[in-house]
Amino acid sequence: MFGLPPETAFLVFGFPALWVIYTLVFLRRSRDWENEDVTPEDRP
Amino acid sequence: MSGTVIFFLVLYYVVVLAIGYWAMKKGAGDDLEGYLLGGRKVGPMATALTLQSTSMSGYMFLGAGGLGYMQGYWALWYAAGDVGGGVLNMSVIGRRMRKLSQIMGALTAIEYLEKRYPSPAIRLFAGTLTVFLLGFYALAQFIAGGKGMALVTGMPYPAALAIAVAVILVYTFMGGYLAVAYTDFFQSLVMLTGVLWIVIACLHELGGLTAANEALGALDPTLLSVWGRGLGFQGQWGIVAGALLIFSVGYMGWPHVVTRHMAMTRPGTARKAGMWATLWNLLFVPTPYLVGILAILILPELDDPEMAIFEVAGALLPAAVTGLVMAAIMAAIMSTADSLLLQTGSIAARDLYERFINPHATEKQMVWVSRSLVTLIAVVGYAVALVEPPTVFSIVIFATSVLGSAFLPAYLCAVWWKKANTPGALTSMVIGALVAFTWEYGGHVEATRIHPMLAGLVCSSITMFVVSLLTQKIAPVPPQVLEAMDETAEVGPIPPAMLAAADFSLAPTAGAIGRMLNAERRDD
Repeated sequence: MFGLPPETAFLVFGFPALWVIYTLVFLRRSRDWENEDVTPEDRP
Repeated sequence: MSGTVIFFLVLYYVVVLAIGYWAMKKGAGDDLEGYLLGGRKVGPMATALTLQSTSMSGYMFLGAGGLGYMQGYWALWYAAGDVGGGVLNMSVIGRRMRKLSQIMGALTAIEYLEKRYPSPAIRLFAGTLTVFLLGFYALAQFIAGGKGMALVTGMPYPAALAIAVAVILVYTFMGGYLAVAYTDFFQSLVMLTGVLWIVIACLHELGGLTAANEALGALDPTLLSVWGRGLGFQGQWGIVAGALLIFSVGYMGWPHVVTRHMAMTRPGTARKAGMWATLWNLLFVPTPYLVGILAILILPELDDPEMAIFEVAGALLPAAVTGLVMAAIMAAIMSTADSLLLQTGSIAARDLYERFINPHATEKQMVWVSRSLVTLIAVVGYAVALVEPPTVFSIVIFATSVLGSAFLPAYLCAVWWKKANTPGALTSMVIGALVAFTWEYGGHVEATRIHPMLAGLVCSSITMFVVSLLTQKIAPVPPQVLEAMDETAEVGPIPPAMLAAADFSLAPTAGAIGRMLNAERRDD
């Protein structure tokens, strides 16, 4: 890919792809963090 | 230097100072929380970009470019971890640290450690080590600024260095976290624009990435490998692991970076901040390394590899764009330097001077201590940078390795492990700092082929676990800390009763200092 050996291509493109996946998983798993965005007075 | 380049640089300085002045006024609260943490009202995008621009520093334009120029694609090991550093920070400790620091009433990253691991020794050791390392780290920014200024202006290095240091000092003395955060936000956008522009110019010059890689391969096939020029790092997984760790998990041990968590609007702000950090990093982080690699083809006979990006900008870009790129480089340097100096001054004044030397320090004395130390760092830094400047890369790797090794287990366990106690944290910090330091300067890197960051981190982590477990009976974690950790684990607002019960005994002092700082600004 782009004239690079496979392992170098993985270093250049694979690692960032893994971090994108990590970020998406984090966003999904932390949906309830929105609960932090209320003031103490609003807490039931 | 052409008039156009000067125009863009001056325009950049004016905009930055205007934003800093506006943010300083906006954030000038009535208390120290307003000064040190921007009143804890920094939103997700600004949090992400101040976190990233502070972490990146002049290293990205000198060290990263130089590493790419010397080692080819091997340099991307550092970028591979760095791309995820922001989201890792936010997802692992961001939300919890923000919440715990508010419950405990901590305003600096070092005070936070003392309140979580109650002991003056924690604050004394952590504060002293941090002041030393952040001061050393600031030295790298001075050198980067001086080298860059000398190249683009044609001035002698000593004069260029003096101007760079003076600009950074004046800018830092504007003071206040909010001013730093919002100028960092602007500067991160300038950095991104500048670096993308230059890599596009490089690729255009070389006929695209594939053609450039084929030319590199023809020149020296090992430049395309993951093991460095001449396969010099082949099989050295200890070095590779350290390179991956230093700018990913290592961030979590940097006091000037984790302060960003404490200043977020709410704990949940960490979620969107993590997303913004990844987006920005994907575009920015690998690019300076790539420009350094491409510079091998464009300027094959460079005397100083760390000047690769500066030289390529001068060779390829029109004057107007060169001005923008130079502004981006100065942005990277200044956005880190101001944070380093603000943190160093704050820690020296609050965590060392007020805490151990003069508990009844007046507001004037606190400000005097902070600004005196910052000035001292600038003077010493200028002298060292002038007499025998080390490479920016070596300073940054040394300072960040020791910081990460010393503090990462302490910050991580502070929110995740209820058995982490004071003896465990203190010995972990001491061992982590000692191992990383001696590894670098004792010749162990060459002997073992293990990165100092990896060696230091493994030792400090093991120490934290072993010592904490062995000393549970003689040094249990205090009940109020355990209660605060339980609340931190819950997702939701902090109960008012818990905030009211927290130790806010420093609030009167904080308020007085804040009023003093505001009065000084009005006088100016």
